[in-house]
Amino acid sequence: MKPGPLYRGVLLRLFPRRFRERYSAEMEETFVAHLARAAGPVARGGVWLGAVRDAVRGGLRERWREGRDPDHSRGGGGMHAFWTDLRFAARGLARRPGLTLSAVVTLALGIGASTAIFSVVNGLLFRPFPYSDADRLVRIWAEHPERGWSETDVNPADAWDWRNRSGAFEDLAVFNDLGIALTGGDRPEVVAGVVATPNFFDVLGVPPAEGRGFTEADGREAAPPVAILGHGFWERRFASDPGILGRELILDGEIHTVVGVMGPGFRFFGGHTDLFTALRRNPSTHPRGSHGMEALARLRPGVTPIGAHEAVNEVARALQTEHPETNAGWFASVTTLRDQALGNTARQASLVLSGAVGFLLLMACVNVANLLLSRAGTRRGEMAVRTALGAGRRRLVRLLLTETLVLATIGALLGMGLAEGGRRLIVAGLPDTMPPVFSFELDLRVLAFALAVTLVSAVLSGLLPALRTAVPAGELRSGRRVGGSSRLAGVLVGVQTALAIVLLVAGGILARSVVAMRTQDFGWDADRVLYVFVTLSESRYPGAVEIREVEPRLRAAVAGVRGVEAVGAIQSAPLQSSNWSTAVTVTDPAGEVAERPARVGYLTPGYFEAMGIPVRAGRDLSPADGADAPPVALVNETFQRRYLGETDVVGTTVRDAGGAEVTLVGVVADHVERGVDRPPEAAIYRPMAQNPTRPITFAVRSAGAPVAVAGAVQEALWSVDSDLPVREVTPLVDLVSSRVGGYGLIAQLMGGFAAISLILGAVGIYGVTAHSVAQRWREIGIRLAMGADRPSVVRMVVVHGVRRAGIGVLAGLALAIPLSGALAGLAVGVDTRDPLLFAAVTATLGSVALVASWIPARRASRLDPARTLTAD
Amino acid sequence: MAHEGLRIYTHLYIYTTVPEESMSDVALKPHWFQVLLALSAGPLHGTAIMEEVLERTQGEMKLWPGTLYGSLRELAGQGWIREVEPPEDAPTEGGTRRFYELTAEGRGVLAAEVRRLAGWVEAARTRGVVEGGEPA
Repeated sequence: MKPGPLYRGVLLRLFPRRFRERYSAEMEETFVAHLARAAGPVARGGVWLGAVRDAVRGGLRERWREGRDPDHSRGGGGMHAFWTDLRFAARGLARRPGLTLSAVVTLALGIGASTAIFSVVNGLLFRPFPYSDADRLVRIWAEHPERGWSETDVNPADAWDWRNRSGAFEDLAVFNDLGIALTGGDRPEVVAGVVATPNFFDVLGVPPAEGRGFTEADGREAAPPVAILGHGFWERRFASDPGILGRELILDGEIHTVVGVMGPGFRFFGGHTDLFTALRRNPSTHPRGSHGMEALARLRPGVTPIGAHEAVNEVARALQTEHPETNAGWFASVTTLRDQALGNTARQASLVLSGAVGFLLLMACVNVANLLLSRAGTRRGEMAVRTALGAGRRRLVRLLLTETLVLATIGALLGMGLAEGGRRLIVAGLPDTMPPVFSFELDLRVLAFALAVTLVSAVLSGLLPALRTAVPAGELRSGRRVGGSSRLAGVLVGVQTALAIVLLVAGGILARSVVAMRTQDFGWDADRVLYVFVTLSESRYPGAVEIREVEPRLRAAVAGVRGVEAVGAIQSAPLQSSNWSTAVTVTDPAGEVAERPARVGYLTPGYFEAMGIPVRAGRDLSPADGADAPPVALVNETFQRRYLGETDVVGTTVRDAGGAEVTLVGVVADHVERGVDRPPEAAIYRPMAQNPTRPITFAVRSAGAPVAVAGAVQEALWSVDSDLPVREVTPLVDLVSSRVGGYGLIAQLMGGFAAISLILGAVGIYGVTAHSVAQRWREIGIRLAMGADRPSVVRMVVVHGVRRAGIGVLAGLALAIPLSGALAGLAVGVDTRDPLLFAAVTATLGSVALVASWIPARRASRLDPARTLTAD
Repeated sequence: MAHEGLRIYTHLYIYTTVPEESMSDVALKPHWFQVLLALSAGPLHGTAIMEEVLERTQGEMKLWPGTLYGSLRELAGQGWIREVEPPEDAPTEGGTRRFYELTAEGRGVLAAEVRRLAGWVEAARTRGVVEGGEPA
């Protein structure tokens, strides 16, 4: 269709007839003139969008005006008739408060739940991040497919080549988030810092609110160190001191001058951040081969993430040939900032929960439809009168639809309250591992969604009953029963039961998954373990010698605290979100030598004991495995099984990434390291004395509750080094909870939806059974009069009701089996097709159906035959 | 409380620098203003008004059909513009194009609005909000 006629045929219809008659030719001309000025499909799309907006707004305005203008209101069309219908519908509903109340509450539940979920999904998927033109921001990671490493930190020199040679980016920054020691105040503190190339804020497109951003000069090696503060940190630590600019802070022992403060709305996508410092080194001077920083880039306009991915890998391939010794096998991957921040779980959860509320809304509509259907018969008289007065079928249907629209609108208003409450609950329950760039404020999109849902539910719940109720006059006269409505109701109950089954199955699977995650065998014993995370600063402990000297003293001080049973140290402990990996050269049972990827832990004697991780073979590390002793290591069971076979590995040797020969002295039990939702990976553990690190986590096993010793442990550390910044003191159980938290929220929501669906299902079955009993009043009366005993009447009604639900149960099971596969990524450690669960769900719904039909059945069996037969 | 009062006074102070006669007028809707301004040079039809406004505002104000013809109807209802015979040489597209011109009253409203806006600009300028004396 050509644009002009399309505009005339669709959009112009939104205007009232009189306006259209007068202006349509000219309006079309103006529209076409707009279109003619648009170059390219995007601009044309913009014109269409503008015209749609204009037509909706203008159409409403003109209709409103005509409706108010007495000269126009006699036209009989549009607005006036709508107002009449509205008044009529409101009056009708007020006469039937019971029906109105149940329909409104049901619709409020459906509309409220879907809007609550949508307002969260809106924040996750649609609301822009607080950066300028955030859709063009991407993260770039290194990957080494051969070793199975993906989303690995980048090498700054490689990244700089991607930036300068790929042509895909407007700019690219490398950065690192790390704990920075802030000393010189009354109390040493580790602040959450980001060190980044000076162009970092330019890439994000957000300048500081106060002072200046980083300049290129700040990135030179000899430049005086400068820092930019986050707004929250400025408030917390400096009480929003307006004279902060120019002040000097001692960060990691070096004096930094504060040159800027970020605005209150700025959030670093990587997490909470206190301050930013400039990387004082040209990234291209970094030695290649080590991967220790992250990359953020802004795409050139018109470049897609996929295009950038290809361009970067072209450079990566060139680097492989230019620097074969360091870059062989290294590629890169590009993901949008949103995909990165969202992660797979949240994306999948958005989808699954949206589907679930969709089902719930459908159930609510079916319930209301059933409710209205049950009244179809009783309104025949009213319809007859209206028909006699000249109303056509269309008019009657419109009138009845207006009624459901009123119901849905009131339901929606109530539902908005539910939605807002729900939104707050969900947002409060979001795991704290969620990047702080998402915002969940209500916006126009949510309102538009709520409006659309309201209209859709009005039509869904109203159309069928309206068509059934508005029966042409001829059929009414013939006195034929408005049959089939009970059959239709039966079908609707089946649909409802099927939907409830799906929701119950999903809720069951997710709940079991959360239980499985919490109760899984972690491989360690979290109950009494406290993590104490410190960073040894470069200024105070310049090298390996100093770290080797102080670490045992710190550990001994902690061990001396009353109530501490065991203590060990590791550079990165389980569930700490850091991901240290290395490559180990091993000889497998077939005699083949290969380089294998493995997680790596640098730890001290006592660590496995403190964590409760059993040593399965060989020995634990001992203090004798010092700097000058022969290199040794332990591996976990997965490493042994996957790389070395089932042989006795104690005493054999492997080569580390530096080429040194390392003797394996023991095998420890597999345990959860990276996440509660991930299987163990191959891991190797080496003595910290042989590989000192600056970040150190002390794993402290206490005799009682771990928090009870937290203060004393901190004091003990400070007794060794009064300036030692202690970054975090966290009981391991808290980390487990926070990791399971997100899944818990999903399961709770799904469980809530399952519960509501059960209630809606019960109400639906009850309502339809009760209605069909009422319709068969006379028949049941006759049966009783003919001598049927009461139990047989109960049986008859119940069998009828349960059979209706039974068909729905079967359909629901058929639907749930393929759909439960969609939960595979969210349900960890459970079988999504567990027959036991399906059986339990069927039994639950079956008993609900039984009870819901038994109540009206019992009532039917108590009928007094004499009364029913003489009635009417 | 006292601060609220003070704030109101600053606003009044701005108003007092505006010429007297425009003070009684409420601001014109921006698109009405542009339509009147477009017609100030002579009669035009709807699409030509749209194009004139679009070009003069450098694409800032797009008059969509519903807004444009709704405004024309209302402005005519106010008596600020009226329909006129098309100029002799103008293509009329088969008689569907209606031409409008400014009435004397419309011209007065437009002038008052221009004075009102000018007064504000002047007030802002004396406070140093805009640098220099020339509009950009």
